[in-house]
Amino acid sequence: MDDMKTLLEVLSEINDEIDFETETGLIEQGWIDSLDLMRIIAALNVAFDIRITTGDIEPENFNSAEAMLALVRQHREEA
Amino acid sequence: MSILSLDFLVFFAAVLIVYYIFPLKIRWVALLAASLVFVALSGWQSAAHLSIVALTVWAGGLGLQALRGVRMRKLLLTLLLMLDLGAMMLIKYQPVFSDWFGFSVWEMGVPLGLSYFTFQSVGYLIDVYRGKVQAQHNPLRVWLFAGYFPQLSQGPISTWKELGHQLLEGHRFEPEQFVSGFQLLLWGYFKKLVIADRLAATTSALLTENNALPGWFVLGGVVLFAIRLYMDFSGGMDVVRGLSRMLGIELPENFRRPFFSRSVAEYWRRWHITLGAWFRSYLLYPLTTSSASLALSKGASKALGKRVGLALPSALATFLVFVFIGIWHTANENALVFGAYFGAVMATSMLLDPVWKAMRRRLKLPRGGWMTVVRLVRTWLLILLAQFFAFTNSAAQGFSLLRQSFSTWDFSAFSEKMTSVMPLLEWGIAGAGLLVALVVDLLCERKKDMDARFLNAGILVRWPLLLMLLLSILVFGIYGSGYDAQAFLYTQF
Repeated sequence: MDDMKTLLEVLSEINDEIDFETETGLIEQGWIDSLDLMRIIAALNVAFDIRITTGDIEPENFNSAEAMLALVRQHREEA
Repeated sequence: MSILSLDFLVFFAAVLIVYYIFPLKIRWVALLAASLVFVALSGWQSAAHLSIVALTVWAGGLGLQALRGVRMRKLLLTLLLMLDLGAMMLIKYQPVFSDWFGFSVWEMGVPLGLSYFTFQSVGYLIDVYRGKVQAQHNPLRVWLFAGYFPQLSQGPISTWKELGHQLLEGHRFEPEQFVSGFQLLLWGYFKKLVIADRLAATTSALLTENNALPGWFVLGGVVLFAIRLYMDFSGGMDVVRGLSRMLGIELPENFRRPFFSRSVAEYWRRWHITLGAWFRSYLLYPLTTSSASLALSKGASKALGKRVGLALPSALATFLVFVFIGIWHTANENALVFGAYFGAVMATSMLLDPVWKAMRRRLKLPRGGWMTVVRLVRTWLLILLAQFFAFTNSAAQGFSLLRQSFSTWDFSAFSEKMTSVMPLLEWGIAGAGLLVALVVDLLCERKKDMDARFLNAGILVRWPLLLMLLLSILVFGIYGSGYDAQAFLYTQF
């Protein structure tokens, strides 16, 4: 649960006008564009000490906070 | 063979007949044959280059899929990209190399659609490498993907996922889709032949005049150049997508009314969309997810704080990508200024984003309303500034025109100046054409599915309008000698 809290904090620092907690179509509904996405990736990398790769950049990995958390955890397990 | 020529229309009519006569399963063979003929007609070099690229990419794709070792795969991909992109650069920048060495190193005609099939084939290789698409076993299918004839004049740049299956699966004749494609085709011809080619006179007036020009004349000319480029390129795209739709194949959109953008970032999401998407997937994202980028974000967030530190690597990468987009157009100083300028605007706005957000909150600025107008105007000005370097022959000329646009705004010779560019009647036709285009764009901006709505409108609405469109193309279109119109501006890239 703590991870989720950290994640939401990180995301709200990037854009506090989006409801990251409930939105499930962040990419597909156009809430975040490629510029936001790049900042989100940099922020997740630093906050969770992981390295997201180009192959991870798929809408389904960034459409919701839930999906991003799953991606973070997957990278942590690999490390 | 230009897609605006009468020869092409005869060729395309023949393609349509053959395509829809062929059995469904092998309709892709008809497309392949048509593309081969189309490419061969534009010279043996085009056919040879495209075939070598297609064969290399086909074999390379299979190799990438078969290899298991990470290092070997990386090595093979690097080699393939160097071959594919290297060949494009050697041909495209041949005049620059000749300049450097003082003599012509090699002489080769530029193959038709060089940039477009190169980018598309590079995309295919990287997608196979990333495991996002299956490598094709049949080389002819790869050839068709690279050389599908409608996209060779100026794109769009499709991915295998978007286009591959559409080319191969074979499409039944759907009257509605066919008519919709024809409509788009007509609309494209209208934009290109009635508006863009008529406005060409205004650009040459700016470039050939040696005396000092009044400021309003320069600024007006640059605005008209921006509009002309949009009409030329997006008109061409409508023709290409219309042709393709008549074959049952939907090509991706390249323009979404970019002049309604409220920021430069939005403008680049709506202008030359497939080029932007290509650079994003295959250059920007790899750069921003690289280990160097990760190290930079960690270091910079410690040194400069999170807000700037986290944005810095993406801002730098974005700057670099725009420089590449600039010099992709042509290798000259103008292209460099154009790319570096847009890169700098984008990078600055990314780095200053938190400041801008805080300011908006403090001043309680609204998101819509009058702020929308301010943002629209600001975006227009930022885009216009870049145009000074898009049509001039040197950076010095660009800066000189820019200075002149701020100089004397003397309206005394208004009518002489205007009629020296083209007769009043021509101005009237251009103005009327632009008004029609503006109304159509506004309607499309307001309602998402204008295309379908128009298709469903009653015969009494639709056919008279289409007939008027056709007649205005025939009567008011600008045709060169032998019924060949001016080449598309983007074919040269």
